[in-house]
Amino acid sequence: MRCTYTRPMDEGVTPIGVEADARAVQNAVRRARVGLVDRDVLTEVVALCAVSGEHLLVVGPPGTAKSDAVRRVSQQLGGQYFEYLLGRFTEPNELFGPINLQRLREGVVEVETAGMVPEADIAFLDEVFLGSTAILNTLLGILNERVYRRGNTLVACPLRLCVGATNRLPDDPALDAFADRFLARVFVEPVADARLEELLESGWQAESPAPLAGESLIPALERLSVAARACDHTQVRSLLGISVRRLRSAGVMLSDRRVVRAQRLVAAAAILDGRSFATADDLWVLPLVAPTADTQVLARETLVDLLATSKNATLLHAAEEFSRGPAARAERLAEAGRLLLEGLDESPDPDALLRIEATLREVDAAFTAEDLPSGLTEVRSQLVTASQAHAAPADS
Amino acid sequence: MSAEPLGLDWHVREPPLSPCGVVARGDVVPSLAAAAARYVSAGTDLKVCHGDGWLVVLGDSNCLPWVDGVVYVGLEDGLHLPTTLRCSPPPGVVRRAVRPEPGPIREVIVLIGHDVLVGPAPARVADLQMLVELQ
Repeated sequence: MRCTYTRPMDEGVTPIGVEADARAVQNAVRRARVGLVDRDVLTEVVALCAVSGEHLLVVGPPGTAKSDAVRRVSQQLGGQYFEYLLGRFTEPNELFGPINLQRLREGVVEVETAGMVPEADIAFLDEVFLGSTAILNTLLGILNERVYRRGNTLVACPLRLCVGATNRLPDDPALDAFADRFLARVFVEPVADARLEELLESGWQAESPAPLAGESLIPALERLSVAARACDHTQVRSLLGISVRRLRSAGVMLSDRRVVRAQRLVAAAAILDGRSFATADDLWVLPLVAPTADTQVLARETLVDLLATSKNATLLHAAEEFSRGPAARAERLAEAGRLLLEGLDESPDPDALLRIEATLREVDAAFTAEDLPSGLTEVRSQLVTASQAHAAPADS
Repeated sequence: MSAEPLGLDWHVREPPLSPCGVVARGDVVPSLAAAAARYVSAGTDLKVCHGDGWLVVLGDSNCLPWVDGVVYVGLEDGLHLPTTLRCSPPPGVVRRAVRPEPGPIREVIVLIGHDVLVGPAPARVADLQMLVELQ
């Protein structure tokens, strides 16, 4: 994480409190990942969207830990969490609350929203597109305006983030408008073959992160969101325009709404990286707003030169995934190396040494010695020393 | 065996190739052989090709051994190149210079610097005894 700043935000740097909040969110996401395999990007994008206030659609086959990842992050952030699996016959009261029968006898329609979507800080709606027209229309109001209206009930919703999940994107054009409200998209695949053993082990141990200790991080999220709304886009606005033009020329069609609201993701990325102003380092969020998996790949390839410097001190894996740039890669590897070194004791077990070797392999396969960024050079040197100090005796 | 050195120019490749092999030359060969032997003993599926003063270990990207001083290689146009570098002339041109015969390549051909390392494509998992002899 960056060094602490002391100058006020209007001089272009973030106050110490916001940096501490970003670090708290980063730690929450790390705790949420305990026991999850290959869901680093998803958990980080949940945090990004929670800060930006933009909603997230997760697309992936059943059984790929979509709901588990979101639930874990929500638990670590604290606040009111609502989760539901929608079906074709789901009634609105199952999401928004039952009608107050007492008041109904008095001729007033009021809804008991306690514990339901209108009072949630984070909501996860599985199979979101299976909802009825009544449900989706009501959700539109909540997603857009953060207001729930039914009869005499008018609730200002504290909803910070709604995560919708689906096995695949809907074919029905009538759902396009609703789908467009989910600005960020993450496409999840089953765990890769190379990490199956890791999945089997973590699944068998059924490791869960420790419950949230201390206070909810919702106030921290709010401070970060406020800081993001005040983020200075001066340096990046022309780059955003260039990026959108390139994307459109390449066939990645983004609605005007998505283009404008993508700035909120850029701002959130900047704040989580310790800055009160957005730069080219934050453009890695742009592929996130491309609507399909193919267009996200195309977006990344189209913007490859603009994303070369992308990185984020809090969202290491997401920045690398959506930029595939050397800066983000270096930052992620340096952080991974530092965490390994911090967890190393005097007699490390063979698994710890294997993890060190795996990180060194990634570093050496990704960078030439001459192009190794300075921060990563130091970490690599320390990892090499640790590996050689605890090397297994050669077989004779 | 090796082929005649080539006048290749190398440029940084971004993003890097996914590694499918690791190469050691000279003094690093014994260390890589020892590391590969450890991995094979533990059940990792690695294949090996070697020549005079060089050793190539092939396998899944997440299962390749690491020692200081090795070079990771990936596949492009049938040739193994350093994952972090792009060569000029392009691999397809170099391949025709090294193996002008048409048809699939049945050897491991590695380009490193100006050197071309050529060896038979291994058919089976690495032999532990052979790796011990290389240490």
